[in-house]
Amino acid sequence: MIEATAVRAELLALLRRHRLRQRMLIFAGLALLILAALASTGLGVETLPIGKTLRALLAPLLPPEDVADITQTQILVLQQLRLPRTVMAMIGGAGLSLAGVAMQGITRNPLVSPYTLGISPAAAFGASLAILFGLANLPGTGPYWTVGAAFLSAILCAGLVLGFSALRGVSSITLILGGVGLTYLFGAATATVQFVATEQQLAAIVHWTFGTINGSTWQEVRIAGAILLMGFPVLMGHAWALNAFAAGGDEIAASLGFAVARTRILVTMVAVLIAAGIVSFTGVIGFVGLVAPHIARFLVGGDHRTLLPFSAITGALLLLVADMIGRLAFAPVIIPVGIIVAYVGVPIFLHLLLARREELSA
Amino acid sequence: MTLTVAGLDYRYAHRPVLRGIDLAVAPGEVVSLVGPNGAGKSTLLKCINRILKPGSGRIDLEGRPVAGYGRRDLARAIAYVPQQAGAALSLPVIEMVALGRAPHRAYGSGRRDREIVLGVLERLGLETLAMRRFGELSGGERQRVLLARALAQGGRLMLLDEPTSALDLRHQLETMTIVRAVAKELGIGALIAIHDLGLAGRFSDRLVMLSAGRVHAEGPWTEVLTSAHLEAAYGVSAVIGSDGGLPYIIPTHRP
Repeated sequence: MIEATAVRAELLALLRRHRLRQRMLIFAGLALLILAALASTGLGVETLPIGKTLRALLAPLLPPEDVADITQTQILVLQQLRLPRTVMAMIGGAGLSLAGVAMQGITRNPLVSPYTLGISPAAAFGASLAILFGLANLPGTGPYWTVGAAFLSAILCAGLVLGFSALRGVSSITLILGGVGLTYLFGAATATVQFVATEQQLAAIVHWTFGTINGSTWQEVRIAGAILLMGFPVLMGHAWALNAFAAGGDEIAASLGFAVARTRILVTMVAVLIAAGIVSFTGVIGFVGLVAPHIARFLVGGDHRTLLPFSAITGALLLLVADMIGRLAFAPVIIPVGIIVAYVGVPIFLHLLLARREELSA
Repeated sequence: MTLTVAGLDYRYAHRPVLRGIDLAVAPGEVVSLVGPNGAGKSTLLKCINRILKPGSGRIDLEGRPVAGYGRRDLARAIAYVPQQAGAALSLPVIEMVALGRAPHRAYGSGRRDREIVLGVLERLGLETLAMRRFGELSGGERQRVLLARALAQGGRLMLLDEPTSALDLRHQLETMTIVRAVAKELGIGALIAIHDLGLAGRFSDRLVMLSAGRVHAEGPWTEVLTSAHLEAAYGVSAVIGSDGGLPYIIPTHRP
């Protein structure tokens, strides 16, 4: 009996250390994210140090003597031009990463990302149609046509994948293969549009597919952010079910009493909405949704109750840092974040992969 | 009876897989389902667990048809142990076991669930592995974790699908010993689909031999593991010996 309680005490201590470590990681991630956000917002034609950036952002709340060294123009530039870009990077990274975790978990496949389901290629097709038909150049409403067309096309693609899967019984393999099929279909459709497009249109289409957060506005941030804020709690509510899907697949999830088909459709729809909501504004940013979840998984483990929030932090940080590098590397030329993110993420990813090779080979 | 199956038929794409299966498992009884590949062992387990929907026949669990159980009720009553679980997106061992509490809880785990999970980890000697990732474990350790999850799940019936086929000799014995001990101690019925006839005979109260979707033979191993039955079901000749009342089987050649 004494021995039993000793074992229990040791086990509880182990559990506490594990929890503590996870909390520390989330805390450290958040702290790093806030720092990166301030640095990113301060960065620009006239770069401000982090402390000054913070004061400029909080200007309305601070006594006037504390912000005496900051001009109204600086405040305006920071709040209206740079901050929305920073926030969009965080929303984009967090959202794509969340969508990736959810898709990987629900299909029990580490290779899946929002990209795999054809969401990004479909969005690109929608955007390219808007550009081809000149909707993108309509005075005033142009950008919204592009975003709207991209979003509708992405949702249509997701609807096709889900509908197709529903016909065949929503198994993860049909979901993945259906997505792969549609990826090629929408790729071909975009190529067709590019083929008939004029030089200027072609340039605009290619530019859209690079994936950038240049010129993000508060309006865009509000829409993408609202979708993310609505989707995140739904995913968190299914964190335990995602554990079951990831750990054992459909039959195990069913044998543990989870509603397999309903959970799969709901989680997939939320993931798709989040990804489509972001990609429609930013263009194709493919890599975050695949890799940020894995980086997070390597650090905090596979329990979705911690993995979901932590992968949001990881994704946000990854995209934010990539965007800063894209702005700094060849300043004043800004390299689109969709390009840089792979350069930043792949080395981290490969490093972690080598560090844990035994697990993935199993 | 914990489990009663009567006249069960199951067809897959018009091909009959199970035909008129009758089967019963008493509380605390360990029953092994044996038979050649494709005889319908896994299909039968899936019908009982309602993963597949049988064409006709009855499946009663503690006197109630399983079709009438709610999704979570059924998961509280039947614990399922798969052959192996993949490791690519693996959970920490403790979370893998805690999943067994999912049908008992709306979300997350309460104090009582945690007590149960910790108790099961200790019982199966997994306490030092509790925070390791499932994917890092050896095959034997993984199988113990899957068993631990089934124990945490509780219930009246355990279904095991080839729990030993990926294990070495020592871990095969260890796994079957645990299953039998748990069944006897807690009065849980255990139905095990298993290829190894020696293990089946050694650890089960009764064997049910399936062949081409029908129950070919049933009873204690002395009645089921006979040259005649093996030849009829598997199409091989075999020498069956007994060592201290436990069977060993040496397949010789095709007749």
